[in-house]
Amino acid sequence: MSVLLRAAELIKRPVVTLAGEDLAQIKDVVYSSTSGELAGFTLNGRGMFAGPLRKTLPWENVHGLGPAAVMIRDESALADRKALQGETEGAGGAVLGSAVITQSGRNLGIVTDVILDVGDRMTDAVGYEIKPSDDSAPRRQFVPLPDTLSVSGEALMVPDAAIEFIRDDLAGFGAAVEEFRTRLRRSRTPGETTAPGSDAEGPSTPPEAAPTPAEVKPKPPVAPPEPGSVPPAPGSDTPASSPDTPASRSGTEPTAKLPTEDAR
Amino acid sequence: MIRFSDISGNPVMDTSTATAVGKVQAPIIDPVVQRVVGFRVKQSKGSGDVVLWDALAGIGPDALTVDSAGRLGPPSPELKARAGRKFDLLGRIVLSENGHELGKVKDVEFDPADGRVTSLLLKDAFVDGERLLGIGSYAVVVRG
Repeated sequence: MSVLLRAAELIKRPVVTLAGEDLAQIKDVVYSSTSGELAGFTLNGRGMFAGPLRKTLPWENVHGLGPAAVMIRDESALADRKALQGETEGAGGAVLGSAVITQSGRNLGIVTDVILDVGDRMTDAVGYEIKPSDDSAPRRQFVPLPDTLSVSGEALMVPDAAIEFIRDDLAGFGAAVEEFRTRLRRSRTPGETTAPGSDAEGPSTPPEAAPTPAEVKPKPPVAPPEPGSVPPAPGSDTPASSPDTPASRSGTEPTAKLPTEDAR
Repeated sequence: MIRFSDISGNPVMDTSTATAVGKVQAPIIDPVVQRVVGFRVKQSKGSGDVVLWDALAGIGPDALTVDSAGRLGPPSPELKARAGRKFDLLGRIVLSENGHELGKVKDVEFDPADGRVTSLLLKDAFVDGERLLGIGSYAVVVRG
């Protein structure tokens, strides 16, 4: 099972070991710069005056991710800062506040949050919560993302088809993302054997985002992947696949088991 | 099975002198073996405020008994942290290993024969004692 979650909801969530100690709290979410998957977290210390920690938490070391805490096995799950270098620091950095622009140059709005699909084995960025540029639209909307996309850069490009799958609330959004991605996959199949990393809609090739509104400053996205050369091998960066770390495996808590008063 | 709330505040009686040498304050639980390994005692007449499970002469409905006040002593070095208030189970939040909050520990039920923790009682749920993974200063963590 998987759950949709706003990335902002993770921020400040405590990082707790299985021994019950809170070692840190989430400072920010870091995305893989190539696939848009969650790469890990930067951390703050716990307590009122605690500042940033030198340690980070790579996603593959997360034992469980729930509404109350991010669980890790023990302190060794925290990695050096270097572990996440080269990835894109997300929520606070490049993504929030950027404009979402379709490939044909329509500005959909400003990103206010990233929607994560927290699954058993991997967590993926599946959509943006945006503040629509269109004033007649609801105050916030959800735009689906293609299954691989760079979330770096100042303007975030999405395929035109995304417009059809914009939703006003999270409830039906999971299905919309699914449908949207299926559509993209289908439209791309002729000719190639759908390599799940080589999206045609590489965000690095916007058709001149020239007719964009004033607040958009299209910059060359950070390190565009060489088109066509090496499609990211599926599996090279698959996080959390060690079989004994089922991240957030349940939504159901088998809590009860009434103790009977019988003697053993 | 007895619940800690049934014996909380009960006197610890010295059977050699028939006097109370302290009052039961809190259970000391080792999450690794999932057992009550002793009790913290207040108003102790011994040299410290911990009585180990193995030092008890009896666990009755109205009192714990020891054969001498000397059974109450300071915690051993390895138990020192565990015996402190910092790791008290009662009132602490319970998290599943998946990061869900299940509630706060209201009471704990254990086997008077060997101290085995049979369940944690939360506000409206029971958690099987065997699910206990850790008792930390932030939370009690349980399996599943």
